[in-house]
Amino acid sequence: MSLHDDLLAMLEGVADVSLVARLRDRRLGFPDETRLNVFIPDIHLVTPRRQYRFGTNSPELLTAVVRGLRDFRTVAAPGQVTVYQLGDLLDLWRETPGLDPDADVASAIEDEHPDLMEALYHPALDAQFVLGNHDYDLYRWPNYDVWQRHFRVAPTVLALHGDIFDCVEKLPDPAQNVLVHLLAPAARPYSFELGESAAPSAAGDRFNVQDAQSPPEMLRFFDSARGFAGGLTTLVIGHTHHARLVVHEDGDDLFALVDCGAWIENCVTADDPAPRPSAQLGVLGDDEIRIYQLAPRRKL
Amino acid sequence: MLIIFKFLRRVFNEKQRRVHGRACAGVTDARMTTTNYRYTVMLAMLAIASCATRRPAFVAVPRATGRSEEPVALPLDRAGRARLEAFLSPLDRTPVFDALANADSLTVTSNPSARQFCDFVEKLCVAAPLFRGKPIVRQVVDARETRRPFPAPLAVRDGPYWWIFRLQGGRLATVLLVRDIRRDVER
Repeated sequence: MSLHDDLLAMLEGVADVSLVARLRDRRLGFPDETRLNVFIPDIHLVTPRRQYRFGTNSPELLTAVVRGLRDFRTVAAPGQVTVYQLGDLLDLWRETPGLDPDADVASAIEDEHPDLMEALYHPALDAQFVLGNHDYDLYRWPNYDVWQRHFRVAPTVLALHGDIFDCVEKLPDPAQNVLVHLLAPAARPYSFELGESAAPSAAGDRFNVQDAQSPPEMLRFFDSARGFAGGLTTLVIGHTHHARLVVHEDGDDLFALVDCGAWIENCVTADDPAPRPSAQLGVLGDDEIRIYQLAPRRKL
Repeated sequence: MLIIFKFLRRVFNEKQRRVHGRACAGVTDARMTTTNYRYTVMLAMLAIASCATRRPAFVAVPRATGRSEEPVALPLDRAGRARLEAFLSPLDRTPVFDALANADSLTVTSNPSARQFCDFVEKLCVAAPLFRGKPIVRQVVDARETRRPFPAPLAVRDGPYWWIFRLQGGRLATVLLVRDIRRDVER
């Protein structure tokens, strides 16, 4: 059993798991089979005083998954499992129209989600946090000093929020903050097309991998990310809320953009057009990338 | 600041020249100039205010000589009270100690829009008016800890001291008193 399989067994213990995409390729350049990296994408927590048409999906499931990951880190030893949260954990923009140094918005949001925050901040999980665009202002508070804008996960892999590839983000942050705060309450959740879907055990080494021939919405940010990547083989992002795995191959060279999706808004698959809440994880290790979609376990 | 001020002044002067032309002179011109200067100053101050971001408040827990001994459990018992009194001496904080000895005063209300300490602990503030109207600080930096504490503590200033309360189960669970020692965070 590989660490990938052990992790999948753990996830299947707390959720119904389907595979969004998988790629196993030696060109990825992270062959260490004793290391596994798990990426939790955008969560966008707010307090209940802000009412929206959609919010964080399945916080109870997410809490169970995070607790499972905490225990899995111990069980997997001496294997090394690192958990990253890819940014936009706390949605400061939807919560307030601008930074107010006198109001500790971050603590207020955390107070409203005690179980999830306790799980995410647990020392045994030792999660690494990325600053997204919606929680970028946390860098101003000393307590969030260890949050970073990117992590070098492996020599060939960089994890970042992904907003740097978004042309909308060229607008000044305060202007975006006000617009998001004003417009978000009326916004409806979008349903992102994931493509095929399969049971994790049924898929081969290459499943639902997008390339230049894929529909344009599957290729969002891909060219910018590839131009940015330099010598890296893999960029791991969130931000778009659209889980997908896109590659460019050229002989011995391969570049992969791993968009881990989100825990907000919805997704649809080719075989099931009914929107389901996005609840996704990205996993990297042993020259293999997987993206999972989770759902609360159906009661038998 | 000076650059912004000069830029705005030049913009207004240019506009005035365009409106009135060279023929416009005398009292009207002087009045316009004064008004424009006033607007310029206001706009410059607005621009400066929007550019300058105040640093969010935080409390740094100082070394052992600057803090009470280990956090005291609440409600206060006699030994805990003696420790806090010894640290605060010669200040008299009898009403606060009495309130902290009463378990009913320790309830914390979750309040996302809270800006003052008393928004969280109304009952405590009824018994201990010392804390009324004082801003709340949730960012407490303690170098002895490896992780940001959760839930974030409640800290309130008391002259040259800070009261730092830890929460557990919707109640104030412990209190630590520290001296107010300013720290600069460089980035």
